[in-house]
Amino acid sequence: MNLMDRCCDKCTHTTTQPCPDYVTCRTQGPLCHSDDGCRSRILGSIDETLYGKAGLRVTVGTSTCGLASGAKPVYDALREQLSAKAPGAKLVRTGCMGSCYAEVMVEVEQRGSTPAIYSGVTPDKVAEILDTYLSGNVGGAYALRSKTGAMRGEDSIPLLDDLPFFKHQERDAIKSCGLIDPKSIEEYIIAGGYTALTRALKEMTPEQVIDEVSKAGLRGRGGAGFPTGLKWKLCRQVPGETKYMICNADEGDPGAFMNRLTAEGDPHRVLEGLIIAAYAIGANMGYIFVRAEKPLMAEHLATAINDARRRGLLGENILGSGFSLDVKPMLSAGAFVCGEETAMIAAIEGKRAMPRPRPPFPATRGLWDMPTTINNVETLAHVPTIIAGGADAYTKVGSAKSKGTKVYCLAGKVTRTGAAEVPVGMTLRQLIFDIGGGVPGGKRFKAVQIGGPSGGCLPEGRLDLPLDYETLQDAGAIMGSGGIIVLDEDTCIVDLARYFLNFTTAESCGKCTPCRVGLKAMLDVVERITEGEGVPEDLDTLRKLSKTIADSSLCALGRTAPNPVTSTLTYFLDEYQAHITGGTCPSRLCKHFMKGYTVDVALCKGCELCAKECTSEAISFSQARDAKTGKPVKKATIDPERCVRCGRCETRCPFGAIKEVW
Amino acid sequence: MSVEITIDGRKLSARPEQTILDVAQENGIHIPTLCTHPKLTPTGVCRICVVDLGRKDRLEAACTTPIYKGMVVETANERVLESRRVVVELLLDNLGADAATLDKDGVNVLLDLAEELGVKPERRRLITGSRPKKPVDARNPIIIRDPDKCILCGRCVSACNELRHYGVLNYEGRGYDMNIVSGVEQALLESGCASCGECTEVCPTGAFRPLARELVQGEIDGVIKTGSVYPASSLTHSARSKLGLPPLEEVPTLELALIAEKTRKCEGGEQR
Repeated sequence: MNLMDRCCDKCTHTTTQPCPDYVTCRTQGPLCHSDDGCRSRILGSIDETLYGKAGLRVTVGTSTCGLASGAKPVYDALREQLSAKAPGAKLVRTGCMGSCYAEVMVEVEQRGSTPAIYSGVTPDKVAEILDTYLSGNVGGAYALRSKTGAMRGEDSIPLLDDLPFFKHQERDAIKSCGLIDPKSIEEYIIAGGYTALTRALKEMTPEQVIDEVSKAGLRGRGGAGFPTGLKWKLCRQVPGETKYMICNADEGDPGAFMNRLTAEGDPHRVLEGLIIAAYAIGANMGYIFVRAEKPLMAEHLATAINDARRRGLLGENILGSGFSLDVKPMLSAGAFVCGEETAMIAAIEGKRAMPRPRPPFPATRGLWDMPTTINNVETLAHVPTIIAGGADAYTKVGSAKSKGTKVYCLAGKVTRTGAAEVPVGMTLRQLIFDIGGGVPGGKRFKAVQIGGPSGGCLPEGRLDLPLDYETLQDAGAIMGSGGIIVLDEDTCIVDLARYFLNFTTAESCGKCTPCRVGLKAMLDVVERITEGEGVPEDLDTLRKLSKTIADSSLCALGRTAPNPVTSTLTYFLDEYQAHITGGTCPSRLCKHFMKGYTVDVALCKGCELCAKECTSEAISFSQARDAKTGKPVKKATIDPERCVRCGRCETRCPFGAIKEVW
Repeated sequence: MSVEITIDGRKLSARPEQTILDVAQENGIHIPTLCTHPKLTPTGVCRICVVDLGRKDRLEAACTTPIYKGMVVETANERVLESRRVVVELLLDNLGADAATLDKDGVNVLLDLAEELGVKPERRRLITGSRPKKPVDARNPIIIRDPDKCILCGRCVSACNELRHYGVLNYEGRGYDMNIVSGVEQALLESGCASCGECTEVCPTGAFRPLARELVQGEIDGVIKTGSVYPASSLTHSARSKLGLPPLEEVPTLELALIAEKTRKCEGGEQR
């Protein structure tokens, strides 16, 4: 029997006349009658869902990050090996645990025994991993999820929760990512899924749901941090039969991937949050606005919607509550400006994604002029925990003003890249050094860009700031979606500002003047500075443009776009000045300041490979005598007049004889 | 029901559905505007009419911001003026055509604004590149389209979509590369343009100009008064050929101008 099916004829549940306890009954049932046969049938199907017929569960992280690291061939190898070594074992493609640095990850668990996690798995290691594990030895594992004492070698392998990357985390929104099969509604329900929805529909009025979320102090995790309970309340209060609930899954900042990770790894959690939110505001139609460039996320969300609909968790009269809702996935065309609610609404309506002035706010006039609420993936993923466990439990973690946990994405020059979920209010230092392991390669930490292109760049001196909405805003950054890009001494700050301005200039919708022309004007200035053509007045021009763009742009894209420039002008003014008046790029990244290339005659072997590579005939050879042997050898010289500083000779030289001159 | 608000220290009584601009204009307080037009829904595109509501993080456009009780507005403090100046400078510096050639019924809207705000001609340019030059489209017998004079205020798009519902003019591209196009980047005549001329009415810079009306203004006035013109309405290219009417290029200029004039006068189309 499938877990989602009726246990026997005594069960009255049908999709047309649903039983309110349908979800709870799947795992704890049967609830309406007592029958040992039914109970064991349910337990049996739970066991088979998790461990297959062979009592063995093998999972591979096949999120986008896992696939990029080569999870598909590992999965294929596992399937082949398992069919020979343990036929009937359950092989599952899961999402990502957040530890992207350790992909490809494989977890092997024999029922009742120690679950072992292997990292950096390649297809040729698969057979050995399975053989060792099946012989009762966890040797070679990266970490253990728990220790049972049933396996040999457990003492030498750390627990997953003791690893530095996981030790400081408090996982809620992404707690099931990497554990469950994202395409299986059964596994989500076994993990406790849809019990929050059951509780909301059976025991709570929409107002009580809103109160609970307000009491939990949940704030929007997409950027601005608007209180979620208040947002729902404002929309509920607006009279009207037709309302819409939208989930924003259009994550687009460079360096942020928490929404992708959440929805790829645990799409039903997002959907459950969406259904509860729709119930709270009184919407009967929902949309999930997904980035088309994140196809796996779109596919998993679409599967979740279809499965939920098939099992009566979407549609008419959900769980017999009288509440009806349908949800449609919408593929976005990939515009950063859709983070602005009114632009997203225009896009869903089939119009050009351009924001309009607010008020009227979407809560009163949104999609097709009807009251609408928009929450992002991560916000909705917190809702089931709040409703199932209550606001009091949820508020145990977090800072005084902001409760709960937040997923941050560590990217850039950091040892352990990935997504970590930590209590709101943790310091940047803990996040980057304790969890992320600091800067790799012995390089010096320089700065951190937080909040993506709308955020700011903070120096070492600001690392002890607690990460919450107010503190970051005061420091000139924003929480944004929570992307953390770590920069080391090799990063040029002016070039970084250029990168983000380039992004916002390209992503501006073009509607209002300051954002359309002003950002391009700023980009031109910063480009000039990186090309060595900056003048001291340029800094005033940048400040003047930043002020007006931030003051008078129509939407938040424009208002926050100057942040990378204003924050770097505050904290790294000396780097701008070095480019403008010092005639150099301190990080040696802006190649325009490089004086040229020189040949280290001691290393040059006269092989002429550089000359073959040179497109401007700048390299010639002179005869010399080798210092040791006295034999005649050729040595390269570079004519600085002809050299165009393309760097091809430097890349080509097998002996490292060609060096940059600064 | 009336609402009290304060603009530049003056306590004013207003109706709750009004915008800041409405109230200011009603009370003789001057706020410069550019993209807003009495016939069109305000869009808040140009950001010339920004005012200070005392918010640290932003100014608001007077044309789109509804009033609320107790609102305190400053329409001309230094922060506001500086913001307006920068916007005018950006528009001037980025213009594809020579700013002196902008013209709408003898008014040069950008240069007038520059003068009003004290933007000096000999200032340091904020942006060195101007919008890429585009050819003039003069094939339509009654509308001249000169994209280099466009400041992307969007009035023509609103007029074409909101007043006439033709949907011929729209935006293309995004950000700095955004343009206004007819049809799928076609010449007006091929784009399904009905030659109603509404865009020439609302365009503030002369990027859309009524060619024929300038030529035959006197004659139009005479005929319109007698009401003797058949208002052929503004039929599209394909509709004309289906009805056996000659293509627009072959219709005499005077007749076209009359058609356009007549169509514009038929607000709501009840005379059609």
